[in-house]
Amino acid sequence: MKLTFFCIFVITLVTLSSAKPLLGPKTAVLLGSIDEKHQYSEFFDSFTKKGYDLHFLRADDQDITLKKFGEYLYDQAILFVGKSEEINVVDILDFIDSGRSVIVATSSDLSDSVRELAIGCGIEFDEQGTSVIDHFNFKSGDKEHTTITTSNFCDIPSVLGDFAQDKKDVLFKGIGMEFKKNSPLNYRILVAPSTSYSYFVDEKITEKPFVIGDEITLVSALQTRGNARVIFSGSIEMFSNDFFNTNYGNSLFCKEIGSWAFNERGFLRLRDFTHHKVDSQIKQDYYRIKDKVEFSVIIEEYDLEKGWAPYVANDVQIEYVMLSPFVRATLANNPETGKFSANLSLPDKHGTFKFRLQYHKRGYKFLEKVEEIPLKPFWHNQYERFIPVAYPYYLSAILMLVGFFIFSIIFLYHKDDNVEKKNKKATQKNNKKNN
Amino acid sequence: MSESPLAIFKKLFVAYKNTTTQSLKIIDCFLLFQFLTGIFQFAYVFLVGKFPFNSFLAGFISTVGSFVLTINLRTLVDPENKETKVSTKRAFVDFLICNVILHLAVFNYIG
Repeated sequence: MKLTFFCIFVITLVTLSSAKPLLGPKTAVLLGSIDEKHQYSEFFDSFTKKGYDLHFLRADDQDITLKKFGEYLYDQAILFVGKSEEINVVDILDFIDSGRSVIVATSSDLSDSVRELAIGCGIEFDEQGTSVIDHFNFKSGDKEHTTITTSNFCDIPSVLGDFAQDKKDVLFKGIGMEFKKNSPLNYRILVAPSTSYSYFVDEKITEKPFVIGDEITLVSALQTRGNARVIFSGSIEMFSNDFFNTNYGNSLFCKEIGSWAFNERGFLRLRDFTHHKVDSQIKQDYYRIKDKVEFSVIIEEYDLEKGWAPYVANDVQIEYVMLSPFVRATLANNPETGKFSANLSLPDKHGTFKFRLQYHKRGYKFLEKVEEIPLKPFWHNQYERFIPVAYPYYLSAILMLVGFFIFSIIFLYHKDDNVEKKNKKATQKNNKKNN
Repeated sequence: MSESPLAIFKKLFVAYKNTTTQSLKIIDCFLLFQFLTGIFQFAYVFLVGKFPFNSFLAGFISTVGSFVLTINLRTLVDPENKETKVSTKRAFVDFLICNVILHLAVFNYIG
């Protein structure tokens, strides 16, 4: 009896924990010292519950290897490096280049290597020792005005997740970032209020601060072309239990952006990229101009519990391109199967065209697929015949021919008498005169 | 003598009727017919536009080409033309062959 209950319990546990992180469960967590993990236990527990396997390592440790014999030992990483720990920037940038996501949080005490890592990802932190200060939006009781509250969130639903419905102010204590405006892969997630500035605490301001007001980015994200997601936060305390256990929205915010960073939302894949002429199912390796073609593709989104589920959206477009798009159509979505399809009318110009699907939606994985297929001109016998507009021309050509026939018959067989008779009469008259 | 244009035309018409042979008159009839058809096609393309341009060209060329060939025939057949040494039969056979080639090309191009 007890044994059966135990077995059922184990089986339910196993099925409940069928949530699978996308790339794999192994996560490296680099901290200043291993004891710090208790300060962020709520944040880490939210991941452990979802099936992640956290390995706590000391950031300063020279023996940390993320890679062994060319294979990565971890699939994600969390770096909480707020106490001037030196990290191996090259290793971590390689880790990101391989498509693996990282959450980086630091503080006013950041080391040069963390600054270097951020610059390698397109973000510049302020100098070591500075903080984001706001004399209007700070947590009550804070004398230095460095624990600020802000509600300037980004507008990307995929990143914010459940937080988007339940937005609350978020506490932040740390260093600010400058965001380069023309970087297409970086997004600002959390921005400081317009009354803040970034400078050394307790120092008189003698020069213009590095960033002011709502130019200060507090949390930013990078999605690389290899679809790795990196979150940079200027405040490590934002993730701490102390800040979670307040009435502010830190808890939900940090958990939601963490889950976006680890590919739990907005990770798409496409399959079955097919096209064929509208009436037939045969896949041809060329098309003819002015054909009607049906194009379809299946796009799926990764969900932690359900695995790959159909993606629902109404803004996916397909382009028919030769150097520049000739036809562009928005694909109609079937929510049950995740099939996106559209009918295209191929253009008048022949050449080598491509079907191109480019889907770069903020907060979602970059989808790109190109298939090249030639477009051939009409065959000699595929042109239109007997066009009604051209009937007068056909008529005139036929009339010329018919007229030619009739004329030649008349010309050959007529009797040329009138003029001859007149001539005869004239000559007869002349003869009579002469005679 | 100031004669009215109408009188001049009438004189021309009478002289034409008396001096031209029957065969030349037949040729002249045919020429007029071809000319009118050509004019009609040109007016049509002005009105409707150039859509099947190859059809327009084929039709127009058939009238213009036939006109040119018929003029040639008239020149060679005219008894008052003393410079030619070609007999009427030879002229007509040339006319025939050229017309065949012209209409072959026209019906191929008319599309």
